[in-house]
Amino acid sequence: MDHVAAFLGATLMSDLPLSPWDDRSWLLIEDGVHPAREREVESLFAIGNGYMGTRASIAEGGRFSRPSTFAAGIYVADGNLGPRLAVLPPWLHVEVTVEGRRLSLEAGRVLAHRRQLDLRQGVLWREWRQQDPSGRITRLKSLQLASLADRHLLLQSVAITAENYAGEISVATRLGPADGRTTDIEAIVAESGAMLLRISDSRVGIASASKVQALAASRAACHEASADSGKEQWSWEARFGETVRLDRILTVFTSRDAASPAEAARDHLTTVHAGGFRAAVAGHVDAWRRKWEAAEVRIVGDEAAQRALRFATYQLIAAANPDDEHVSIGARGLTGEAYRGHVLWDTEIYMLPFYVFTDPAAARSLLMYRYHTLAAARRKAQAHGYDGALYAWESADTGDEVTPRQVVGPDGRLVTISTGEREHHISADVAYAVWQYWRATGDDAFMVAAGAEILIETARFWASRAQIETDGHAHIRQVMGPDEYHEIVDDNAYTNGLAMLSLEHAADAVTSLGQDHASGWPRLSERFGLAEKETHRWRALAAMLATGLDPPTGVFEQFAGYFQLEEVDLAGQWERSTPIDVRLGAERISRSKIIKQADAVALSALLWEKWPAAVHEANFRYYEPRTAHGSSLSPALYALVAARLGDLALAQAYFRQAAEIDLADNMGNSAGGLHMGALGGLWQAAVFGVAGLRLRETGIAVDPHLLPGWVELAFKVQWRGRLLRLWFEADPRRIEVGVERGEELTVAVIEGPSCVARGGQRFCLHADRSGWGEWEETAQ
Amino acid sequence: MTASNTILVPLDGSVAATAAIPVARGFAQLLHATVAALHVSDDALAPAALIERMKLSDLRGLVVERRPGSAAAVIAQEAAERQAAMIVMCPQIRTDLRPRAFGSVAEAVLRSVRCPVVLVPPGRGQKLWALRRLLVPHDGTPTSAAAMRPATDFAVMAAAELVVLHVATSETARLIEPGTLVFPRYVDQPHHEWPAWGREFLDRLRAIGGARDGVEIRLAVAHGDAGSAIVDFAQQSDLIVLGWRGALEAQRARTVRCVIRDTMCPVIMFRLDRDR
Repeated sequence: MDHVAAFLGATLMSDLPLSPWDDRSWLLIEDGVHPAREREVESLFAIGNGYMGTRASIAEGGRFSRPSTFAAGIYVADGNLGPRLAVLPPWLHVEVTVEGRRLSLEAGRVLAHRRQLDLRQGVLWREWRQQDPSGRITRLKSLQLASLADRHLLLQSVAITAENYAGEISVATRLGPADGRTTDIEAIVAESGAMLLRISDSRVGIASASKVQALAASRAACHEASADSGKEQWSWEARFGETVRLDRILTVFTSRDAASPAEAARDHLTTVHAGGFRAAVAGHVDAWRRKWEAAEVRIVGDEAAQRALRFATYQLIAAANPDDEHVSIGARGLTGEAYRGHVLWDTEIYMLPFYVFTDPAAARSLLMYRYHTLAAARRKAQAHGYDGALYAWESADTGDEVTPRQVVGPDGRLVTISTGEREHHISADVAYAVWQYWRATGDDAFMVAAGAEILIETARFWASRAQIETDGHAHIRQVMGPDEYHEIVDDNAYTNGLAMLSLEHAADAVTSLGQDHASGWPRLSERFGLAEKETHRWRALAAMLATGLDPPTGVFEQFAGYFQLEEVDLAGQWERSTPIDVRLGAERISRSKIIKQADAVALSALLWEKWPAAVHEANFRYYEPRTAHGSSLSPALYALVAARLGDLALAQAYFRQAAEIDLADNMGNSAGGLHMGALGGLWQAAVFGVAGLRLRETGIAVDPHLLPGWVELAFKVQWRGRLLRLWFEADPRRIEVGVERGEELTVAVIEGPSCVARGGQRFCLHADRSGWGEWEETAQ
Repeated sequence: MTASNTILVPLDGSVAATAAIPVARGFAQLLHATVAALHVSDDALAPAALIERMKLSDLRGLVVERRPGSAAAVIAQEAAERQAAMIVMCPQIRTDLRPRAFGSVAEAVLRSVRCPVVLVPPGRGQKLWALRRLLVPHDGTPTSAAAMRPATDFAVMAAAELVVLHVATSETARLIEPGTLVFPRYVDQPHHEWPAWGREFLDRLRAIGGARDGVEIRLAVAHGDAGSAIVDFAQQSDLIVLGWRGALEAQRARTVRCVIRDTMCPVIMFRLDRDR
């Protein structure tokens, strides 16, 4: 990594170039510093832009801190455990020294300390008043941001006030590991007017650079720089009560972006610097404003739900980079080291819908990551003796399977990990996501270029994976479904259901492309290597796949033999301190009907239109009391389905449970990073569950069930180039739809009337005791 | 650690009680301290006679003294006056009282002194003792974390391995203290979740307990009854480090009593301050 770090000068300015958003409901606030919670706070307050993510560590470092920065797609090898996201130094590291004594939370008295994550503007704020052991009081105010307008740009501004003294203040920044913290940087060298940080495996370099900007300084600050360590220092004689502000620009490029990251960083710095620090900040704030315009979910009447959804939306926006189709979003995003940056089904099933409906470009990039890793999926399928593409359960930069096969468990025993070998539904999950994206966006160009190939190759996998047996049904044996408490089962309901869809969608896509792109079809067909009647075989196989549906009850047997397992009453288990699988043991759990997470119920959430509501009701009532929610992904899907079924009390309970996974963390596992899938699930619970949003061939349909206390729910979605704003009011029941841009589409209400609206039109619909009335066009 | 260089070893004149001496010697070596054997008795037994009665053959570095009076009170008084670094003693001597964890003297001493108390099972006998592995059972509470500082001090002094043992029990979760770290509610992918949780568990312990920097700590996890799990695990350890809250009532100190009663490993008990 190449780097020239520098503050942009010293001046008598008391204010930072931006203020925190003036509505506190947009701020996540942490007062004080608690060593026990610090790593959790670092995750919660992380900042990022999809290109880089930085934990919100105390800028000067501390014993209890786990500072780190991650760059999407930058992995290092890590022995048998496979690749992991490289840990880069915290770029916002700043040390302040007053009269030769380093300012520290651990020396003297903390008079005030507050961190604020400004969700609206994507800024991390810090205010700190510290009295050192000699009685000097120093006040620091700072902002940090990873620009959403320019993903290669990081900005930092620090205002330092000598409240009750005059004396020498110095400020040092560095890129190297601080306080002995471990990073994956092997060497820092000066190159091309920047600093080059070399990553451990030497495959990737990352560059950043900054430059001194002369402000209207009252007097010059002394500046020293050490090219070898990336350390720079500024010092000045502070006057009594004086505030000095220092602004810092860093530009970052990696060898994934440029042949010479150092030169790219240096050149980009020149450009950014010419525009000025304030302009760079303003660009970032404007980019967040635009994102929120497209993605905000507004809830009136439930502050906690509102806060949770804003937090989820912030983190989802900060995790994606629409401009890079070779990276995806790991299970913990760029907020922590846990899960090693590995990409799982969380992305396609839990996070992707948010992007499909609010930022299709980001959704497309995420799916393109799966397209670019298709070769690895083909290799995996082939290695297992199957055709087509079997995606890695855990994927990193190449798409090859990176799930470890064995690990040492917490009790010291060697544990075999079967997910990488058996959790094949990932291929159907990716196909489902491709189909959902295409259906929602109508992006034919994507389908021709990439989507169809994913659908075809995953369908080929299922065609070879499922076997038609003597009972006349096709079976998929020896798999693991989302319920990982039952490791190797036959005919998992979720896997078979999604596989069926994968086969059908591939056939549909081929038919559709053949019709819509008739002139280019021969070439496309050749590219896909389609065999004669291949799509017929897919459709036939889909029709023969065992579903596990028990006709008398309408319940899907989660896998063959599930109904014969032991009943274990989960009631009263929630207050116990140990997870049920640990308490009862894996063997006992596998013999019981206790399930880890939504499995058959996930089918309801994903394939609502495929079966009547009675089937969903039956499955929800059957599996809900048997679900231990041992996965953070589970509560949100139960909230979604409960809301669709109109069980609002249960929906609200699960919604709250999902909302609290990170925000009310009391089990310590947010310290390793945030649960990005659960955050995406929360958005789905609100939009697909509470608002009941569904896709139709000519538009959308809604079926609102506002949760208790929710007075109003409003959000925007995009559908095939149209931008819609939807309002739902609880009492009296009212729906309003405004089409902000685009051609005509149909907006339907389940068991209610439809309207056809186009850009610039707004319609509203009222309900009374007898039901919904008629849509009325209203003035904009 | 206290600056005192005295390790007090109360002896009741029995052979069994001398099991404390090899352990006291081991600590004395680490702390550069003197072992003061204290016999509390109203019988004016000469030191030589006492030594003979207890069949003490190795007297190197041992100071033997007698004080009259009530044993527990005198031990506590001597420990306070000498600012003893620790007291090393057997928790109970009479083997026919096996179901009991503590004898009356040991229990009274524990209740009244502020310095650490090392309890040595009398069945350990005269085997040499050296500190190579410490076991710190931890229930996840911030208060208990206070044992981490002295534990890491000992680990550094003895260049010993330090293992923290967290036992997942089947008990209903009790909000013992705010900030108590329990097992994660969600374990999405166990092979990722457990290492992350383990790392955080140790980081929290280090942070709250004031553990010394640079000490490598290994986390072990067991399931079931806490006392039994600790006793089981301690078979491979030289010292169990227990923080306790000063209460020895049957219910409140169930785990402590179980460990003291059943283990063959010396146990050092640090009294924890609830108001930390």
